[in-house]
Amino acid sequence: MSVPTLRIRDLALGFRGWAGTTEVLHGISLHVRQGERVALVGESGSGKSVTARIVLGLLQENRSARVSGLVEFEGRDLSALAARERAGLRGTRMSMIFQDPTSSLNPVYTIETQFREVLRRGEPGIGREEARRRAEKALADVAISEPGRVLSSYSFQLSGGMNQRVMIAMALANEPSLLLADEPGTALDVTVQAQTLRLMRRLVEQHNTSVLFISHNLGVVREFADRVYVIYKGRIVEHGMADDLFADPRHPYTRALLRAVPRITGGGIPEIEDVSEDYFAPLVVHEGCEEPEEAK
Amino acid sequence: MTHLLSLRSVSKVFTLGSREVRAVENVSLDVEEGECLAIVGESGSGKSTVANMVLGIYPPSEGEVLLRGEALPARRQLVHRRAIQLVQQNPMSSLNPRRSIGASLRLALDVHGVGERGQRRRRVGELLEEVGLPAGFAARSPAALSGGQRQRVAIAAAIAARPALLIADEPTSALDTIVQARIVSLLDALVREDGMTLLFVTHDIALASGFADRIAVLHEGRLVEEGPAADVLAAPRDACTRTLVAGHIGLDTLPLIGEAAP
Repeated sequence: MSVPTLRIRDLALGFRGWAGTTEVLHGISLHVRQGERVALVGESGSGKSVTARIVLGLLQENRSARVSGLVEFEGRDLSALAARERAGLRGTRMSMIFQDPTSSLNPVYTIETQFREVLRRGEPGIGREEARRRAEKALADVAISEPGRVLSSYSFQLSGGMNQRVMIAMALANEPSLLLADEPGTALDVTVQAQTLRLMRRLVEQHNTSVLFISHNLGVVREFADRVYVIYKGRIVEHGMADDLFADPRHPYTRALLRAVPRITGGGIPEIEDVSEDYFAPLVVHEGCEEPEEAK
Repeated sequence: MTHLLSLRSVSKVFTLGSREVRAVENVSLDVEEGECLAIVGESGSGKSTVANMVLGIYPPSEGEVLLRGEALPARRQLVHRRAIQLVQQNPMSSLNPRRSIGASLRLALDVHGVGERGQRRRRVGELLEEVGLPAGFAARSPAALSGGQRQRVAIAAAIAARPALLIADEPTSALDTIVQARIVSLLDALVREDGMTLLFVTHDIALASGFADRIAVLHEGRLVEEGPAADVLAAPRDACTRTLVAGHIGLDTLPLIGEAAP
């Protein structure tokens, strides 16, 4: 079997503070194969966003963070790479879409300037005309009908849904093999969110991009992911193919999470425990979802 | 019979420089004693503007707001403010971080002159227990509480003065799914068991369908649909409501995949 695009083994994270170390991740393992869409689902504070930041290498620069464990990207141990090599991967081989599109774009530069900067990471010698042409095409791919107008705009002149599409176009512009999407629809209206997700799914299918999709919204995850990891307080509690996991949730926490999702068909208000001993039950892995062995 | 709250052809126009924004356009609504009415809409639909006019944060440009048949003045007296209380969206910013939970609740009781002065300390503990928190939380600071616990404190502060109407403006949008379910069931208990009247403002039509008696849908400042929650969900008459229902991504909807791109 081929090497997974991303493989994480026993990843632990703690933050040193005045009152000792706060453990955030207690040794999680996960993998994303080529062209696969994998979701990491959990509540705030469960450690899902920090996982994405570690993969990008952003947290390692934080002096109070203590990271241990293995993160392999296309078979290469990321911690063994030189800082420059690692920085070279960002925005080219792996890219990230953040939750709030409006604050991830720089308000003092036009979209065109920022887009050109992204394209230059992949192809340093790219000319102004060529960059504009490619940016227009990328924006057209995310269903933006007037790419020219959007390129000469500033982020604050565009709607949230439009900004998020710009972010998606930028993230995919250099054809990365791994896309990290951290709650990409949460800041958007429900209708816009549905459109954005549909668009993103179509694009990653076309480009055969691997995606690590981070979300607290199980409905969204069911729409988007092939395989799901459920994370609770820094531990993976359940792992399975999306269809299996939603049809047959086995971990008490996953069950509580599923029951808590509001149903449009009504059905009243569920009785759910806020915190329960059961939520700390050991990991449940569905059939055929074991972590891959050592990479060759 | 008089309604607890009535909005009569209420409009709100904001002036931004030379531009006029009609945030709310000719909205009429009635809320009955002891019911939960959900106001549902996308961002920018005017739902918070409606809530703010009911609260008296700003007066309507046209139309009037009536409480038990009496028109509420543009400048509210303490008695009006006591009657209508608010739970805000973000519990992280709605509590004073420098004040203990007990002091915050005590302030609500003092301002509205609830009960005998000597009884108020005990009342703070009772309020906390009413919202499902231990009375001992009074000594804690907001920083020592989770988002869900803080939202419970915000609810306790809002019900401290025994308001006739409680407005909850997206009270769970900043919270996780499980915590959201717990907060909603607390609000539901206030309505069903204590007879509180609740105006629940949300963008999540599925959440509203779970416990509201009636749903009012706003779109671009206009009231496009109103009716019993079950009817609105089962057979939405308006195109905007249908879009909201169709745009809902949940566990009980058909997958979106395969549909044409926008």
